Amino acid sequence: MILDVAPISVFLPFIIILGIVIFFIIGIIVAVVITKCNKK
Amino acid sequence: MKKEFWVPCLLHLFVDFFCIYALLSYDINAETRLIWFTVYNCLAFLLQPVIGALIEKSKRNKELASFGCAFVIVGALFPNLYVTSIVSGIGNAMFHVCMGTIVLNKSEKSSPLGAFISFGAIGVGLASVFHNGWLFYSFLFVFAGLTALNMFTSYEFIPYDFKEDFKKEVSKEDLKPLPIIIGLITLGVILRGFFGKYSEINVDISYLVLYIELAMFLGKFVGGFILDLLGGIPLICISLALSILGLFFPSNIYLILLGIFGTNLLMAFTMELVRRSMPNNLGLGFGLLASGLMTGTYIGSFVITYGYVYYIPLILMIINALSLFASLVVVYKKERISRL
Repeated sequence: MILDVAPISVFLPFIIILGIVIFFIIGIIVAVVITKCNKK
Repeated sequence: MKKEFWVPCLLHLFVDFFCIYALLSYDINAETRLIWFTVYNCLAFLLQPVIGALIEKSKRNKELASFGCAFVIVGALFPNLYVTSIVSGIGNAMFHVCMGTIVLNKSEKSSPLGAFISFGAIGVGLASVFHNGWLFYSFLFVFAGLTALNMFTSYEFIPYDFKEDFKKEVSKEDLKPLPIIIGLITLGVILRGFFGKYSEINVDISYLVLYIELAMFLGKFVGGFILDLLGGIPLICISLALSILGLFFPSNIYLILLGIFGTNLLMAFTMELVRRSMPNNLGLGFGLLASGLMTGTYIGSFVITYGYVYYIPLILMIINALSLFASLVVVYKKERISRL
C-alpha cells in the first residue's frame, strides 16, 4: 500500500523556522563560548 | 555627525543593494527562492554573533569590512545562485559586524548608530524595485571606490573610544555585561522583527516595497537624533504611539508608513542600550541584535500564514516598549547612561 505522504513543500516553512531557531541558539552559544575563551 | 561615518553609511547601502539585487536576478521557482534566500539570510544575520565574538579584539576591523565588501562584489558578479547566496551572505555578515563595531565604538552620540544602520533599507528598496544594467554597473563602480576608500579612512583619528570613555569614572564593575538586560533587548528586537512581518497591509500600489523601505530608512535615521535630543523614554512613547496608529489603519498607506517609521525609531536606541550593557563586547552585541531581528522576522512570516489577529502585534508592541523601558531604567540605575 502506498502511503499518502504530504509533499515536502507543506513542511518546508516549518523546517525552515525550526532550522533558523536552532541556528540562532547555537550561534549565540558559540559566540558566548568564544567570548569566554578570549578573556582567558 | 563626523564626516568619517558617511563612508560606512554609504557602504551599507551598497552592500545590501548588491546582495538583494544579485539574488533577485535569478529566474527560479518560489520554493528554490525561499530556500536560497533563507541560506543567504542565515549566513548574513545568524553568523554575526559568532563573527562579532571572533573580531572583538581585532584591530583590523575596517580591513575585514572591506574584505566583506569584496566578497559581496564577487557574489554579485558570479553567475551562480549557490555561490551568490553563500559568498554574499558571508560578505554581508563580515561587513555588518566589523563596520558596526567601529561605529559603536567611535560614535560619541546615538545619531551615527541610527544613520549607519538606516542606509541598508535604501539599498534593499532600490534593489527590490529597479533592475537595469546601467544602475548595477554605475553602483558597482562607486561601491568598489568606497570599499577602497574605507581601507584608507582613519577611524583611529576620531578622538573618542566608547570602551574607555562611556562613563566618567570607569571601574571593573562598569565593564561587566548585564545578561538580563541583554536578554530583554534581544527579546525586544525579536518582537520588532516579528510584528514587522506579522502585519496587515490592505493596499495595492506601485513601488510599495520601496515606500516601506524608505519609511524604515527614515525611522532608523531619525531615531538616533530623537534619542540625542529628547532621551529614551520620549522616544519609546513616540515609537509606541506611531506603531499602534499604523496597526489600526491597514488600508491607509500614509498611516501604515507612519507605523513602520515609528517601529523603526527604536533601532538606534537598542544599539545604544546594547553597547552600554556590554561595553567590552561590541561585536557580539551588534551580532545579537542582527540575529534576533532576522529570527523574529522569519517567525512573523511563518505565524501570519495561520491568519492575522490584530491584538497579537498590539500586545507584543507593548511588551517590546516595556522591556526596553525596564532595560533603560536598569542601565540608568547602574549609571551607565546619563539620562532617561
